[in-house]
Amino acid sequence: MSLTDLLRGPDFQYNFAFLDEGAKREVRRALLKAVALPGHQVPFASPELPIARGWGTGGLQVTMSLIGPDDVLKIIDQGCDGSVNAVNLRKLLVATTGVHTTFDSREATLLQSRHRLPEIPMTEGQIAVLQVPLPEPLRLVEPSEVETRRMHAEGDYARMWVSLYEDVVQNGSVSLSWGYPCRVNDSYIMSPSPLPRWDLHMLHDAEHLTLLGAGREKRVYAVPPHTSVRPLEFEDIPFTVEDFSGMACARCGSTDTFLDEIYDEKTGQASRVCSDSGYCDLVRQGMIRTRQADRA
Amino acid sequence: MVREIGFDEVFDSQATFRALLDSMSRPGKICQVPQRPYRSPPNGFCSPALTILKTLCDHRVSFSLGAANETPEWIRYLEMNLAAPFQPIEKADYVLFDGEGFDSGFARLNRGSLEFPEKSATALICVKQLLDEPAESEAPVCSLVLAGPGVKGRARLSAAGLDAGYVTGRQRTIRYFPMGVDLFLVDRDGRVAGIPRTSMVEIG
Amino acid sequence: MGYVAVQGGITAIENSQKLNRYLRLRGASAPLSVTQIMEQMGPLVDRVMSEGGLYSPFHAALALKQASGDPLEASFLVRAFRSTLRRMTESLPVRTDRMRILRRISSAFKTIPGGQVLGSTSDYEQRILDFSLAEETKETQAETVQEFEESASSPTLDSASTYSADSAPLAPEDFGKVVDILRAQGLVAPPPTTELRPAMDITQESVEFPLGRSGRLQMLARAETGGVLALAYSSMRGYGSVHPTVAELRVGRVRVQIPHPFRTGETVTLGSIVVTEVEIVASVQRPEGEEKPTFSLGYGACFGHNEVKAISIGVLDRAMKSPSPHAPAEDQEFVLLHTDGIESSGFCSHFKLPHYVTFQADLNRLRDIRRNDE
Repeated sequence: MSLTDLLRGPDFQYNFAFLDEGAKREVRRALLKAVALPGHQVPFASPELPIARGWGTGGLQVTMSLIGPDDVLKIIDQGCDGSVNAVNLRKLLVATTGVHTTFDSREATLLQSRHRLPEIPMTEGQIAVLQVPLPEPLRLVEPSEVETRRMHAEGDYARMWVSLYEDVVQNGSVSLSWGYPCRVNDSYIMSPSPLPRWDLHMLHDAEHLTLLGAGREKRVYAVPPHTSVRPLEFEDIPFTVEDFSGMACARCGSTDTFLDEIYDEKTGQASRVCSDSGYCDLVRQGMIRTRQADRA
Repeated sequence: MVREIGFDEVFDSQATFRALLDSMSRPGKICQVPQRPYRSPPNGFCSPALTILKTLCDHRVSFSLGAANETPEWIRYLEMNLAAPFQPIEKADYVLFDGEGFDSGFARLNRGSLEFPEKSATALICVKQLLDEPAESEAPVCSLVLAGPGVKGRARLSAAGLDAGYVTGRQRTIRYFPMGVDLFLVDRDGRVAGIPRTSMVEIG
Repeated sequence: MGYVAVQGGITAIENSQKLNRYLRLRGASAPLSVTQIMEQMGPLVDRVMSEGGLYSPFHAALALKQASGDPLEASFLVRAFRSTLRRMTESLPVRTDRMRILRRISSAFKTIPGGQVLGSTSDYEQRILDFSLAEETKETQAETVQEFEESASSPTLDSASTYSADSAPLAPEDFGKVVDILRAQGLVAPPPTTELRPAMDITQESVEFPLGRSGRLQMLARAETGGVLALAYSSMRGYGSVHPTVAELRVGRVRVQIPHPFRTGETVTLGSIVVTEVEIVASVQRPEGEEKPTFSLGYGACFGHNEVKAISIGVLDRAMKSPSPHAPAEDQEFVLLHTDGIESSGFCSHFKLPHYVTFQADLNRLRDIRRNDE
């Protein structure tokens, strides 16, 4: 075999789900340990992909290590299937696996997402894969990896609490908005990925498994089903979610979803629409009842 | 003794991994790994255990065996089929035990460290049969009640051919959480159950 | 909306790709050939091989053409390509003391065994723009080449063409290392035994801090040139000073060999590559357990001909050995986590992705806090 034989010919075929089996094995080993250590960041080699670092390589490697020919895949970014980067990731995965895809979150067996969980709670047959830019919640108070590793090992989270306290003193409440640090299984403090506060309750005592991948930082971690996930809060200053009171989605009328703020391209008029475009479509098509309709 | 070719590196390992992930995420839930016709496993070898080890092992990790099966034949079979090196129990990443009799080597499994709890061993215990209901088997059955992450309330798991010593022995390995050992129980029909170190397990 | 948005997204991406190609090709000039880039933009190709972590001038040149000359983008293409290649084996340690020299200098001594070889360098050129280059033709090219070849006196040149596909065995030259002179006199300490372990592979194993020297040098070998230069410069200027003396800088061809796959004890030569290697000698130290003080050593090596990078790596190697790190260049995590061009540019660029959900969360919080203030 010559060197030329090792190079790409026109009929070269990528491995199923792109990653080579050795890379998948390494991710799989890490994920099994991650599930046994809820909230703990497990390092992995994280080799490069044709997608840029910072653009979802971690989530992608997790999905590539999970996915099989019978899976149904949904990929969203900011809650939307049509977001340009979600489109790009979907193209790569479909090209290397041939799996079916869906925009309906209820049909997905694997859901890869950046910054949101779907409005419809996920169930036992589903796995959420979240893309994580900065997996270390303690980076807020400590730049060194060696030191934050020690803090986690010893459960020494005092500086985190002090930082939140100082925030409260300055701002009246904790001003952290997205990626709010959470305590998992009464043990590790974890970054839930840049989810808005709105979505955090869906990690707690969930029916589904959540896996989180940070490719550039080379860490994976997990929240098993039926595991406690509690945002860090002070007894007298309860954790609150985003306030959309008085607002409704201009497309489907929902008043209980996370709403995007948009400015019309032509008129500059401000309005609100559901971030979860798949959910919004289902409501508009009359295929699901909104939660307020159920309560009425 | 041959290198087994009945295992599809891409699709069998993917299906096996999903079963392992599901079972470790939901302690008490019994999942199924693909059944493969291996041609020359050593006498008494639990074939589904090879499927699991082939899914997880390669030259970057190591395996070991409980004393009952630590024979040159078993070691060679696994070295050949996993392309992973054999290591003594205290150093190995994946250790295969026979569930029938408690192996004292279990106490020497690597529990990781406070800073790197993930560097701990994973024990793969071969049992005769995993059961949804204890009454399904005539053989002596070890019945477990599980609680903790992955379990809604309580879950029951029963295994025929599992020495209770593994359950009590496990208590010692997980005493200093996050250090600890994670287990898979696998039976001869390829049914697998996972018990992470976070599970609270009682016999009964 | 889902379907329309998805279609819109796909169309936008495809149109953007078409626009990129169009902008590159719409001018009057003939398309650049990959060979032209390989032959006439050597240092740039070397830089991309080095930062991509793959020794292949062809692929680096192709990547540069595809990226219209953007070195970060080209390095990314090479790095991503590398990750798809099957790992066959590991080479034996490369013998840089048997390098087929293209260039070899020492600042430590005026004359050295084997002599100083200036070789090909722009170090001493006056930086005056040469406008005659705008008028180069095939004729002037042939004239220049013929003139040089007829007057050439350097014996190393005929097999020292940087991009020749030469794979014949190379005769070892008789250039002992300058650092060995110092070692023989006990002036440079031998490496601590903790460093004499099998090399790790940063592309196959997870990197953990504190990181051993093998991992550190690997990360620096494929780090971005500007990044390592900036941090090394900070050290040279006084942020945790490393005042280096270049004991030796070598550029040349080295053989890459592997153990014979089935004939034990034999080796197979796969070919040769060009590397730049620098050994710097820095301040006096008194290593623990040693009686006498010695010079400390910094080592830098990278693919291709890139002296600024190799010297910078050597300086950072020495800086990171500091027993009590203070300055950024002495902090392993700071140096190693922020100098990979693919990671840093990827993360930098990711801020162009939609962040409107997280921004909405921020807006919500700020509006809430402002309301409470009132």
